[in-house]
Amino acid sequence: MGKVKKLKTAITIEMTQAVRLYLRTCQVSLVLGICIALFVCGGCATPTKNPAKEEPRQISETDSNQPIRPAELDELTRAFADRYVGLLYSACDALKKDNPDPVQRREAQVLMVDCATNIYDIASNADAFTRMLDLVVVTTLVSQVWIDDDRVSEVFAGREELLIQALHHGRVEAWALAAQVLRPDQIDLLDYLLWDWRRHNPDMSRVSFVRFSNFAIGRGKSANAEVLAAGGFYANVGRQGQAIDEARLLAERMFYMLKREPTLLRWQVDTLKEDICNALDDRIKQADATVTNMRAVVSEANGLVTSIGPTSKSLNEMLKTADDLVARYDTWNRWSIAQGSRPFDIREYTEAVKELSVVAEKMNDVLKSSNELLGSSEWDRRIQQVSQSADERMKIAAEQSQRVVHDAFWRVYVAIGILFAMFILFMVAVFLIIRQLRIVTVNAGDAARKEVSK
Amino acid sequence: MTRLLIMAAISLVCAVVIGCSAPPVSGGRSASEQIISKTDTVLPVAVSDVNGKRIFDALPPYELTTGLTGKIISIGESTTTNLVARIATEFRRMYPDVAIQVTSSPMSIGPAALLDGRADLVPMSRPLTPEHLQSFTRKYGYPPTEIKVAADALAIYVEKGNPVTGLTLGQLDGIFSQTQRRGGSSIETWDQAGLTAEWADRRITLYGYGPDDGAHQIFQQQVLEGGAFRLSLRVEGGGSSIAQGVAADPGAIGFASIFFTCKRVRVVPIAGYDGRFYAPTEENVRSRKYPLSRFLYIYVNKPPRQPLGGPAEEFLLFLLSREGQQIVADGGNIPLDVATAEQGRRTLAD
Repeated sequence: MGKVKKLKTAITIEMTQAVRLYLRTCQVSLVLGICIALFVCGGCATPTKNPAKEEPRQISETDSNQPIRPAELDELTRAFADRYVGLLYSACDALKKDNPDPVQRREAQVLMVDCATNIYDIASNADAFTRMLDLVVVTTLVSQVWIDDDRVSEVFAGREELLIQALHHGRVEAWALAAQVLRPDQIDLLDYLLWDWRRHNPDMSRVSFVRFSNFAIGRGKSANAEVLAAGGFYANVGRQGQAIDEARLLAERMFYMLKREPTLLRWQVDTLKEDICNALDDRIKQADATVTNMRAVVSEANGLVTSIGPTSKSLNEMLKTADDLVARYDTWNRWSIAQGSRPFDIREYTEAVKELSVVAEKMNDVLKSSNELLGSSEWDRRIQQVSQSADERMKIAAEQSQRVVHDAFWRVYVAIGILFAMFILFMVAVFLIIRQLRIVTVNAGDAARKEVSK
Repeated sequence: MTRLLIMAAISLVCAVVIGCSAPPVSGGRSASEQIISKTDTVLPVAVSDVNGKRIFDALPPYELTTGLTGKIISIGESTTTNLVARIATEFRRMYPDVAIQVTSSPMSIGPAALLDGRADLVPMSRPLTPEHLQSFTRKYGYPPTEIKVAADALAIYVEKGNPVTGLTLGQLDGIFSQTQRRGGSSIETWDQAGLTAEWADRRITLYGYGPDDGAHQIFQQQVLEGGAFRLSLRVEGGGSSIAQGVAADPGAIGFASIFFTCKRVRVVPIAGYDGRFYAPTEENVRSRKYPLSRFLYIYVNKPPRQPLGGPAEEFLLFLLSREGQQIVADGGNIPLDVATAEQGRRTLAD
């Protein structure tokens, strides 16, 4: 009887452990399943998809009495970021095309890269409301620097029209976006804050890194808080994180940025190329200037030598005459000639000057040839070589960075695959153990029953 | 034991994560605070200015009081509210125990807040309407007290290359209005405003504020004589947007506060009531020779022959003092002349 009890207890313990094991397996599989689902959802989600499964609405269709939905703002801000960068790219590209001025080319390139980098940085921000405010800040400040402060005329004199239109259009669109979210008085406040900031930072020309959080002013609370807390059309957006799956948003932002990274990288490479070419141009200009200076010095020296020639000749003749006179005097008065001291002979100096003239001419020729070298296609070829090599290095860097990203993703996928395979193996093992336990239990039951019947 | 170890490990990880994400201790100021401190160096409150006499130098300096505490709530129109916010920054520095809440609102919210007793100060860019005054008087038995705190001008902007030398109020009515109540003719292209050559055929594009804004209402009253704006008026959210709209469009004309002037626009002189053209300079605005001059106001609920008292009164006294008017000037607004500031101080003392 005692044996039966022990056996029953053993069976119960075994069964309990099996059940626990099974439940734990279920928990692990659930967690793994969620992880995989999240990853797959995040990976599959693209910026164009509407996360809340809402039909996208056009800006013009938005009813001004209805609060804008977070998903809409999310979509609108990203779409605007792309449009703005595209607009700026077109304008800057037109400014660079067939432009012989390296300063203008560089300014256009830097403006484009600066703005695009910052706009995409903003567009990958987590909170759609902050994103919208930051977009308004950057587009407004950039347009103020270039249009209001007339930097566009200083830098791109005669070609400014296209950039003015692009920047102004971008600003108008950004404010139209803000008008869907903010009340008119909030818009007015934001407009004033930006203007006031610009008034107090007039020398700052690179403004694309400025964000709305910089505008907190002494109003008892930050301007940001005032705009957020004022119960505008967008009162509920600040709490969007509570409602929307953050993991998906994160993945979406990551993909948004990653998709645009190669373009940014390419533009940055172009900027670097432009910088290298400009640096070489500067060097060539400096070398040209040095050569010109040297030539002027040499020609002055030539002139000097030429002018010294006749002067020295006449002086020589004069001294010759004097020498003759002295010689005659010498013959007349031999006793007065000092022994060992050689009389001054201007001919030696004339010879020296003549030699100097020849050297100067040779030097002039050398400089001429170096000047010709700088102006020749050989130098162009070298610049191209440098440019090409820089280009290739950048290309390699870009490829490497892309490879790093690909590798990272590949590793994540492999890790998930391994986890999944382990999970399957684990499930199989558990299944086998449970089956084995059942057999053991049945056998034990049979044995017990037999023993009881005995 | 194992659970304890796991919990300890989790706590450690949390502590490390929080430690990494916490703001740096050194410096202790955020980017926004740094910007404020930068601004502060730009806008110093100099009690005495040795670089020439300015209009507010003749005003009495502000005298600090001790033990001032309490709260000031300001709800009003944005242009004047922006000025109040600048003054509030300095006032808070002098009286750290006074809490100031400054909120800008549409034009109609401020007077309603004053009527309901929700606001201590109501900044406005135009006088209260007779309806607002009547409602207030009906409720309290006396009208709200009006204090002029700064002068301002509505400037007429054109693109910097536009050669127009001056415009009359009649011409502005012809340009902006569809009703032309001043009796002039409609002006739609620049040749009708007297320009020739390549400007003659250019169509005039209009920029301005929306109907809720004080500037829109003042312009409608003073220039359009209550008439209707053209439907082609491009309404912008703020003054700087108007100025830039004009800057980016050679055929454009717009009206906004003189505060928003920039390099790429030109301010057009306007014919005064004596027929001569006046630019919106400080002198012309104060003397009211420039016809689109205006004051910025703050309204308070002060019973007659009783002091307003409390931090609100001190705030207004500071605003009307030499230091307060210097902040007004440094912020780009036009400070009051001595007589108007004195009048405001007397009104508060009455």
